[in-house]
Amino acid sequence: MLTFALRRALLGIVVLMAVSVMVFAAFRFVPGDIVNQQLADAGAVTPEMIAEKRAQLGLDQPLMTQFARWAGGVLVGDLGNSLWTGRPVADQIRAAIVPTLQLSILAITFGAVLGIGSGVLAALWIGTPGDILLRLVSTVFLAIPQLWLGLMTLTGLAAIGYFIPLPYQSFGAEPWINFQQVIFPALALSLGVAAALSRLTRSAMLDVTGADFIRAARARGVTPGGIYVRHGLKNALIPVITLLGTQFGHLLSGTVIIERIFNIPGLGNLLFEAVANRDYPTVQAAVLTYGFITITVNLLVDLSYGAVDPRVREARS
Amino acid sequence: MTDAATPVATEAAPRRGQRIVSTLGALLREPIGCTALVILSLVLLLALFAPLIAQYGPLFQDRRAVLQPPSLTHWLGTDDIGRDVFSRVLYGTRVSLLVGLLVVSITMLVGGLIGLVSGYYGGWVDTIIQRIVEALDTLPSLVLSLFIAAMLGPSVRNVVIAVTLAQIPRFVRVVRSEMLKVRGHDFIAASRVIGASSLRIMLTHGVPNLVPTMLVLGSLAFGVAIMTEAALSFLGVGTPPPNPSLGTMLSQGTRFIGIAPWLIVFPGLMLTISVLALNLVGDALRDVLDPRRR
Repeated sequence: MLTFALRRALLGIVVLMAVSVMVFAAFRFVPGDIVNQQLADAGAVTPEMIAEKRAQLGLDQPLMTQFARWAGGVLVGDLGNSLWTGRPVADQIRAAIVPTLQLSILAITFGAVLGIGSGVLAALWIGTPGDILLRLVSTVFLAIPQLWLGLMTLTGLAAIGYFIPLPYQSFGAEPWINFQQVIFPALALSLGVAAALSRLTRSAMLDVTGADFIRAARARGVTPGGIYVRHGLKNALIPVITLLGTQFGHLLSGTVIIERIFNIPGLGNLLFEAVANRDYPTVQAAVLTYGFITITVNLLVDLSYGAVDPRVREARS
Repeated sequence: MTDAATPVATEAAPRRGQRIVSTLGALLREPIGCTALVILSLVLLLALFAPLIAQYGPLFQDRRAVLQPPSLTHWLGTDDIGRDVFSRVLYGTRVSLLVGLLVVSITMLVGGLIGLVSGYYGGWVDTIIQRIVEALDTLPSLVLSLFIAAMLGPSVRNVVIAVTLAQIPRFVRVVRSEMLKVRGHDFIAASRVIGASSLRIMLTHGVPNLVPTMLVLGSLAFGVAIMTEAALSFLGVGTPPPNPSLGTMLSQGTRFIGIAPWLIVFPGLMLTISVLALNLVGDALRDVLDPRRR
């Protein structure tokens, strides 16, 4: 089990390196850079000023040198300084990752509870109006863009005269204000996840409940509720966990939008501003952080299969 | 139902026309698929004939009717500089559908081709392609699209590139695994024995067997593309103003969120209806084309 985890983690690091090379290369192939951007307001710009600025920012070095310097820094936890604000990038990422993780973990929890719960109910009520209603609702919510759901949440709140307090406060500083700021975006993000999970849980439950061991359990006199939760849900969980992993990526995409709508200074907002300013080190670090989060989640999903299914555990040892 | 959609059709070429007709027929017999197709056609017609249906131009400003709620003269109200929301929604849908169509076509072509090659040849070609796909897939799709779109600058062409690149990995992966399944069949070995070239085998045996999967994936990807275009435009790196795009409209509407909800409600509703119809068509196609689900 441990070697399996280590192998997966190592593979993740390799993929992450590939991502960083891609991001690094993409930036350099595209015209326009931070020097033009920063000097745009300066009025008369001489070629000497541009050259000086480039040398100062290290942009005059060969590409390989720039990449080697950056990659070397990453290994020792130094992500460089922002070309825009001059602050260490690692500090900015550390500050931005907290709201993003808080938002996405909250949203995935809501989504899992709502989705798995309603999926089990739909399977239990199969063919009844309740089942049909739940399926209808999940189909519709699967099609609503997170963008619109977020804006409609704000519209709805405005209609009842409630406005989310601003500016953003961290949970440590102002828990009650932070709660109000995070709960609505998290709910808006979770509904799409819940819809996808609900559909899958329903069909996975129906697949499992047709199996022989369920009939055997029923014959042994296990109560219907016991059958559904102990035997049905536990065995339906593998595809559900897989989807939960993919949905987390979808959810991270959503945080970029939702953070802008709800003014949350997370990773998405940081990335957006850095990209607009062509602040290379910050963009690289932000993109890499997204990659890191995804790889970690995928690793957790892989490991959890073993926790849910003893057969997987044995195959890996 | 006919055998036109069995997973392995060995002589698909002469039956292709018949196959499309029978698929469409089966789709129309499904109540949900039929409804979805009707809604989708309606959206398409609205977008296509926008210049004939809309009473105002998308950029026409009526300075005497600013931020008007929905009424008989302005069916869906007006925005902060007196532009008609209904007209702009129609024209915005045009942009959405255009981007979606382009993205899906290019993704199918490029992603399909790469997946085909990856699955057919295997070996180191496959390994390299899979590692690249994996690296692209590590990033949340909107992060990747935002990054590319912002790099290239706002234009419809760049939005198409950005959204396409984020969609390709999924196509490559699915087409590859389908191709792997097809490759193991005896008729492929038989073709090789009688001297068919790799290209010929891929085109005559690979492609026809992939059509059902591609259609289902394509209709779902269409919806995702529309949503991503809106998201990019909302973030300001998508379709540049003054072109009306549903995402840009939503972005402009945020400034009047408590005052003029119709600026948020209607563009988003149009977006949702389009995506919903596309998803339902995709679901119905899957049921019709997948022999196991029949």
